[in-house]
Amino acid sequence: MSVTKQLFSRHCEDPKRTKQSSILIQQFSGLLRNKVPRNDKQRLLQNKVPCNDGVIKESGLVRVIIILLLMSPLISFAAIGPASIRLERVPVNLHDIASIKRGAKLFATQCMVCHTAKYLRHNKLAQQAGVLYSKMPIGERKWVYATPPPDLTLIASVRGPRWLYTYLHSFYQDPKSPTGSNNLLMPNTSMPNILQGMQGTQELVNGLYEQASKPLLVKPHWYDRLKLVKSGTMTPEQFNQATIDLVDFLDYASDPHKLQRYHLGYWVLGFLIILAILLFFVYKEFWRDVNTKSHKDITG
Amino acid sequence: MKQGVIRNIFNWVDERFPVSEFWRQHVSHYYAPKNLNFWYMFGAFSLVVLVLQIVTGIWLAMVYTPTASGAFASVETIMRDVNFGWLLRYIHTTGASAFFLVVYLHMYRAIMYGSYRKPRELLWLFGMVVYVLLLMEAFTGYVLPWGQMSYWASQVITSLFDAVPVIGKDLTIWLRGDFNVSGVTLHRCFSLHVIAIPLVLLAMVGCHLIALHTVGSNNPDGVEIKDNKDEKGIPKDGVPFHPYYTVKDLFGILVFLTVFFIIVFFYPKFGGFFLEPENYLPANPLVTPEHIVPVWYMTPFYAILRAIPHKLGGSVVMAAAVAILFVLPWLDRSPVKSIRYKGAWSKFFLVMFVISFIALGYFGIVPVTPLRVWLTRLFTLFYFAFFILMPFYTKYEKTATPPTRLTE
Amino acid sequence: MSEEKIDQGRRKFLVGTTAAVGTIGVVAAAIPLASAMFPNAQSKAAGAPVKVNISDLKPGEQKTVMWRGRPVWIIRRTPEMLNTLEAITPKLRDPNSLVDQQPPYAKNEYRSIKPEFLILVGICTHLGCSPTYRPDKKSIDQRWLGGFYCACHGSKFDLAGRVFKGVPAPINMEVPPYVFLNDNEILIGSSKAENVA
Repeated sequence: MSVTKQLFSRHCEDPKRTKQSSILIQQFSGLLRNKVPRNDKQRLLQNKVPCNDGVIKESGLVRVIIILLLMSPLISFAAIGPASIRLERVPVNLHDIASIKRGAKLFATQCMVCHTAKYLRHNKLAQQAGVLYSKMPIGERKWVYATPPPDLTLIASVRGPRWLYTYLHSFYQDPKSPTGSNNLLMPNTSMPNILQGMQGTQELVNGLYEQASKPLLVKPHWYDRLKLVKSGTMTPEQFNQATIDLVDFLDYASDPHKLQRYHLGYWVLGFLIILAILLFFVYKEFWRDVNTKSHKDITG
Repeated sequence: MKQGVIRNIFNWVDERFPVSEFWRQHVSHYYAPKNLNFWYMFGAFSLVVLVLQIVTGIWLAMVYTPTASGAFASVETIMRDVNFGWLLRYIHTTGASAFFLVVYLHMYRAIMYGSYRKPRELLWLFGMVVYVLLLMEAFTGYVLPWGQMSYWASQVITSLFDAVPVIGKDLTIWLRGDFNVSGVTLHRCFSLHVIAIPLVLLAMVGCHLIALHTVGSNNPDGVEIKDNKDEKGIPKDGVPFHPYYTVKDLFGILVFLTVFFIIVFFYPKFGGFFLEPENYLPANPLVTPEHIVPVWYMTPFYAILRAIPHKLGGSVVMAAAVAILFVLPWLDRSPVKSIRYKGAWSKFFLVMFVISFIALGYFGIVPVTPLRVWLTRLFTLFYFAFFILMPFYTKYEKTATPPTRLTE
Repeated sequence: MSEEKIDQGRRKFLVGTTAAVGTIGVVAAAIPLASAMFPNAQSKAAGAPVKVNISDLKPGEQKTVMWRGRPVWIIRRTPEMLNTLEAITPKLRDPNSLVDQQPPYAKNEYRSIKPEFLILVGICTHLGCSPTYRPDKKSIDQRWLGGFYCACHGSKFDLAGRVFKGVPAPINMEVPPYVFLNDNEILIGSSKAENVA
C-alpha cells in the first residue's frame, strides 16, 4: 500500500471510506499518469477483508505517534532548574552586527575583568569591535575567591538568552551578602553587581507582589519585585539595549556559525526536496508495473 | 570501444569475484512481498544513518582529543575552527537520536507484523544484539564531549555495577579503569566507541541482513509469500527487489533525509533533547547537576530504574526490560502473525505497550515526584504485562483468518 | 505496444535526470568532507605571519625564526658575500631561479627584496634536513666561497640559497613570502603588510 493509502484508508472493507480515499488517490495520481487504470477501485475493494470489531488501525496509531513526536520540542530544557521569576523575552538578532560589536565591547570592558571567553578566538569580528588581541582569547586565570567565575563562551547555550537578559536585570542591594548584592534569578550568587553603574541601584520591593492575590503558577516579572532607588549612567531603555547587545554577543559567541548554518540549510533542503520529488516520479513510474502488468512480465 | 573495455574489466573481475551472481541472487532476482508499506522503510533508514554516523565519526575523530583536559576544547575546535566542523558534529548528534528513532520504529514494525515469528527468530535475535550494541555505542559516545552530563551520566551508570553482589565494587573499578570516573574512563570510551563497538556492530548488521535474505521479508499481512510460488519457483506475490524496492526506498530515504537535515540545520539542539544545555558546561567532579538524565532514547529504561526503590533490584528490572525482548518470538502463541488479524486483546496490549513506553520515556526525563514514581511503576507493570501475559492472550483470543494471498 | 515505447522513453528520461541530480548531490556532499581536512582556523592562526626585528642583526650574521613549524633564516649579507654570487654561477644547477621556489620579488640575482637581507626557509630541498650556514671561504672545500652545507647527504647551496650541480638536492632553497614593514622589521609569511597584532 502506498503511504497515502496507508495513512488515509482502512485495510478492511468499508465501502464509504474506501470510496473517499480511492477518489483522493485517483485524483492525485491521475495528475501524474497518462492513464488511470480503470480497475483500480475494483481491485481495492476486492482485496479488502471484512473488518473486525474494535479494529485498531495502524494508521491511527501512526497519527498519534507523529503528533506526540512533533509536540516533543515543546518540552524543552530552556533553563537548568526552575526560575523564581519570569524569564523575559529578548529580541536576539544575530543579523544586527552593530549590536554584536557593541556587546563585544561591553563584554571586554565589563565582563572580562573576571570572566574568560577562551573558546572564542580572535577573529575579524573581534578586530572590528576594537577588542585588543591581548585581551582575547583569555587563558586560564587564578581565582582567589571560592567560586571561580565560569567561562562565558557557551553560557548562552547553557542558560539561554532569556535567562541571561533577566539575570543581568535582576541584581539588587542586599547588605547581608558578601558582595553587597544579590540576584533574583540566582540567589546568593558570588557575582557582584558589575553593571550597577549603568543600571543604577535596585532594591527589593517587599510585599508589593505578595500582597496581590495572584495564582501561584504565575511568576512575577523581575520589575515587579525590584524598584530603582538610584539611577545609573543609563536610562532604563538604554540599559535594556545594552543588555540586548550583550546577549546578542553572547549568543553569537556560543554559536558563531548560526547564520551560515541557516543559509546553507536553505540550499541543502531545497536540493533534497527537488531530488525527493524526482524520486517520487521515478517510484511511481516503476510501480505502475506492479499494478498493471502481469506477474510474468515483472519477474521476467 | 570504451564500452568494450569496461565490459572486459568487469568480466575479468566477475570471473574471480561473485559480483553478478551476488547482484542476481540478492538484488535483481531477490523477491520481496509486493505489499510492503512505509513501516518497512525503517530498516533502510537505519543503514543510511549508520553510514552517516560512520562517515561523520571518522571526520570528527580526526580532530577530537580523547583526554580529560583536551576533550571539551577539541569539540569547540571542531564547532568553531574546522571548516564545516559544526555541520559534521550536528549530523553526528542528530544521527544518534535519529538512529534510535528509526530503530524503535523498525522494531515496532516487527512487533506489529510478527516479523519475529518462525522462521525469523534468529533475525530478531541478531536485531536485538544490534540494539543492545547501539545502546552501548550511544552511551560511550555521549561521554566523549566530557561535559557535565557526560561525566555525571557515566558516573551514575558505572556505579550501578556496585550493586552486583560480591564483585560489584571491583567490577565498577575495572569498568572505569580508575577509582572514580576520570580521563582513563574517557579514553577507553573513545576506543570502544570508535573501534570496538562499530566493528562488532557492522558484523552483527551483516548477520542480520544475511539472516533476512535466508528467510525473506515478512509483510503486513503476516502471510508467507514463499507458500505461493509460480512454476519457476518465484513467489506469486513477490516483486524483484530491484528496481521496485530500490526505487521506493530511495524515495523514502530522500524524504527521511529532508526531515533529518531540517533538524541538523535549523533545530540541532531540538529543544535541549539532542544536545542538553548542561553538557555545554565542562565536566566538574565537584559540582553535581540538579537533574542527571540520559538522552531521550534511554529514558524509558532509566525511568524503570528510578521507580524501583532497591539498587540491585532496579538494575535487574531495567535489564529485564531490555532482555525480555529477546524471548518475544517464544512468547507469541498466536495462530496468526500480523496485528491485522490478531484479536482485540493483542491490539489492546500493543497500544498499552506503546503508550507505556512513551510515558516511561517522559517520566525518565522529568524530575521525580511521588506521584510520578507511582505512575512510573504503573506503566512499568503495563510494559511487562505486554510480554508476560502474551502467551495467554495470544493463545486464547479470537483471531481473524488471514488471506492466502497478499492484500494491498 | 505503443504504450511500451512511451514507457521506456519516459522511464529512461526520469531515471537519467534523477541520476544526474543525484550525482550533483553526492559531489556537493563530498565538499564539506574535503574542506574539513584543510587546515582549520586554529592552525591558520598558529601559521600566521611572524614579525621579526632585524635591528640587532650584524653583517654576516644569521637569525632563525619558526614559521608554520619550519625554520626561517634571515641572513645579513656583506658586500663581499654579494660579490661571490656572480662568480659561483657556473657551478649552479638553476642560477636564474627558473624553478618556482621564490615569490616574484625574489626572482632576481640576489633572490631577495633588498640585497643585504636574505630570507630562506632553512630546509634542504633534497630530503628535508636543515643545512648549516657556512659563510667562511674554503670551510667546506678549497673552492668554497660561502653558502649553506647540508650534512645529511652533502648538498651545497650558495649565499643566495641556490643549489649546486652534482649534489643530491634538485632545486634552490625556498624563499618564503615576506615584506619589510619598516627598516627594522620584516613580516615573514605574507607579501603584504596586513593587520599585524
